[in-house]
Amino acid sequence: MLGSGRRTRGAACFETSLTNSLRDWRKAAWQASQRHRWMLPDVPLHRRPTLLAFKYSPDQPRVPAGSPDGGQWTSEGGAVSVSAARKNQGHHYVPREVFAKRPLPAETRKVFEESTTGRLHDLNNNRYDGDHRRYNKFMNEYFDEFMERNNINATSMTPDHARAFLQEVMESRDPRIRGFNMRLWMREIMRRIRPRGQD
Amino acid sequence: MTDAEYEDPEQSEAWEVLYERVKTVLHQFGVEDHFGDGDYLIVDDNYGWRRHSIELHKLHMLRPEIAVQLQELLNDYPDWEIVMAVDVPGTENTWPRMGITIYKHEIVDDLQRQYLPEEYRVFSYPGSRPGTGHA
Repeated sequence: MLGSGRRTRGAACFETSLTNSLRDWRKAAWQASQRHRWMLPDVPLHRRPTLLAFKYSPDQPRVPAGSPDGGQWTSEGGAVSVSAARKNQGHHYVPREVFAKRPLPAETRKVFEESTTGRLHDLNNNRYDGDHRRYNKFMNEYFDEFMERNNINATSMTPDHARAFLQEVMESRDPRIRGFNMRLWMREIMRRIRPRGQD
Repeated sequence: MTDAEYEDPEQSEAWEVLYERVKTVLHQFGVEDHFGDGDYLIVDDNYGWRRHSIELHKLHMLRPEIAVQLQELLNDYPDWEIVMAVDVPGTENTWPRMGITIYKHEIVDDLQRQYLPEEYRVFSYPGSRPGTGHA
C-alpha cells in the first residue's frame, strides 16, 4: 500500500522519467529525419558520427595487465567497477543476456547496464505478456550483425560503439524492437492519463 | 526527482533475494534459456514492482508442485507475487495471453484450458481461484 507521500514521490519520479524518455525519443526521431541534410560522400560516417570520436591518447589509463579486461582503455583511477546490483531501473534496451555473456570491456558493459527505461509504474496490465524471448533473440542477432558490420569484436567494443548500437536500437523501426519498447512506454502513458482509482 | 533518487533499497534487496530463490527452485524442474530454447526464463530486469515474472516456454513448467514450491518462497515476502506467463514458441498468434499469479495466500488461475493440450488441462492449484482472464 502506498502512502500519500510515497505516491507523490512516485508520481514526480514517473513524470521526470517519462519526460526524459520522450525527449530522448523525440531527439532520436528528429536526428533521423534530419540526416538527409548531412548526406556527404562518406555517408556511413555521417550517419554515425559517434564512430569518429575514437581518439588515441597515450595518457588515457588502461586496465592493468592480468585482469580480464587488461589493456583496455578505462577512466581515470584504473579499472571500472560495474555494480551487479539490480536496482529498480526498469527494462534494459539491450538485454542483460545479450551483453553479459560477451567478453566486453567493463566500461562498454557499463553503458549497456545503465541504458534502461527507468523504473516502470504500470503494474496491472498485461501481466501475462511473454515477449522477452523474442526480443532477446532478435537483439542477440542484431548485436552480432552490428559487430560484423562495423568490423569489431566483443573485446574491442568501446563505449562509443555501445552508444552507437544503442542509438540504432532507439531509432529502429523493426517491429521486433520498436514494438516491444513502445508497448512499455504506451502502457506508462496510458497509466498516467487513466483517472486515479483505476490503478 | 529522478528515478535514481527514488530508489527503493528494500525493494531492490527483496527482488535480488527472491530472484535467486526462484532460480534455485526452477532449476530443479527445467532449463532456463533467455532465447526460448529451454523450458522457461525468469525476467531479470527489476521494473520496481513487488513481482517476479517467469515466462514458460514448455507447458510442463505449469505443474502444480512447481507453483506450490514457488508459493512457499512468499512466506518471507507476503506482499510480493510471482507471475508465470505461458509463452510457448509457435503459439504467439494463436493463443491468448494467460498464466497464473501466485500470492502467499492464494493462486489466481488465469489459464485458458481450451487452448492447452489435454494432459495439461487437468492441472489444478491448491487454494486457487479463477482469474478474470485479462489480469
